[in-house]
Amino acid sequence: MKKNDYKKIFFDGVVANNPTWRLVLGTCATLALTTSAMNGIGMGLAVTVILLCSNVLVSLLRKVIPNEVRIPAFVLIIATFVTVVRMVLYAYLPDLYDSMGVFLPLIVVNCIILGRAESFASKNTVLAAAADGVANGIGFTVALTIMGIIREFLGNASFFGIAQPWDFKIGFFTSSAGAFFVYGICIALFNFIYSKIEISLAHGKARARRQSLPKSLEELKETAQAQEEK
Amino acid sequence: MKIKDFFRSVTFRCIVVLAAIALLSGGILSLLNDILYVSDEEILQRTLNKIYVDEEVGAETVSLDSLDVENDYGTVKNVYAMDNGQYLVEATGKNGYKGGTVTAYTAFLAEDGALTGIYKVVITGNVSQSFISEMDAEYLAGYTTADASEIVSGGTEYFPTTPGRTDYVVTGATKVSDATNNAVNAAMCFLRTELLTAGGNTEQEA
Repeated sequence: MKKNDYKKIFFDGVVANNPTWRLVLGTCATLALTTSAMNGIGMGLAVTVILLCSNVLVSLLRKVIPNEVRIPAFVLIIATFVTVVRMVLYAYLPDLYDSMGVFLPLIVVNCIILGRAESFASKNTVLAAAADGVANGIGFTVALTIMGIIREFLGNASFFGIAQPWDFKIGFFTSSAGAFFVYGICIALFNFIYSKIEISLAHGKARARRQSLPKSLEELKETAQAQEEK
Repeated sequence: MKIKDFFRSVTFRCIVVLAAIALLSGGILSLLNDILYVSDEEILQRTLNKIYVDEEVGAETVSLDSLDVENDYGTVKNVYAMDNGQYLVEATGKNGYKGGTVTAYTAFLAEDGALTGIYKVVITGNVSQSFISEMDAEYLAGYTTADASEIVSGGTEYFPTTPGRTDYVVTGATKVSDATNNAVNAAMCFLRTELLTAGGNTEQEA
């Protein structure tokens, strides 16, 4: 695999196919755990670690696992890593473990992880699968953190747990309805910006192609003459 | 299908692969379970850190052997006599949402063998209480107010549960409020009727 392929994998995971804002996957955890920025980062990192490990193992075992039982096998692998992450969090980060509550074991059925195992890791090399896991994990973490910052700032008047000097809170943003509202706004903004970037990139490519073509008939003749002389 | 064919079939391969993954996972998890085991002492210390923030308070376990830990409100799991004269009770309150429970640690203020108020309530677990997040710090602080102290020190009253109450309730999470109130009530009932009575066993274990 070339360097450019890894670049594409990273761009796809973080931006073009961002699991939260482009593919709208893992919505349950996204809505529930973005009440604060720390929760968002915690969930994002947990998913990133599980994505990386499960993608690597699924890719390693892709020639061993029969096609007929691939989904149960993937679920087994993912469940194992989720349990390991739960144990580690409970032992070393009990506050984060408590705040993530039921959504931590529910990572087992998170469609981002199962989706990447099924659509990418089971068909690609270990390195590519690892890169895909990290990229999607970063995309998910960034999305959750940004949503967490917005909801915490507006709903609790704090930033990463640090209280702001003003006491202006809008309780709506910490509620479920507020989560949907922020999620919708983020999706709209992200897709608006992404489409603008995509259009400008497409224009840039077209311009470059046009510039590389001969402009007129005379130029064509000159080019042909030059080739003949050679 | 002959036995020989079965061992060569995809079905057999599927079973073997799944069993191998399950066995390997089980092995790794049981190993990690031992490595990352969190002891009861550590769990208690974590709870104490939540209750007594920036304070070093020692706790002695109270023996519950000859005491009745079940009452109308729930079940008492553990009782600790604190160095500062408080009683810390871990109790599970019943009658929550879908018949579930809420488990909470309640630190009671006591003077001359009588309860005078609540220092703090910390929720540590629940069963089927999907709205448990509604029992936030603001709600739990309600147990430490002067009104609540009157209920605690009164000797006979308990925190109200549905139907027809207007205080100590979160609208939309009434049943979870019930279970939370019951967890505190179960602890309070135990202290009043079992531990702090004349016949109560107040012997402490180190």
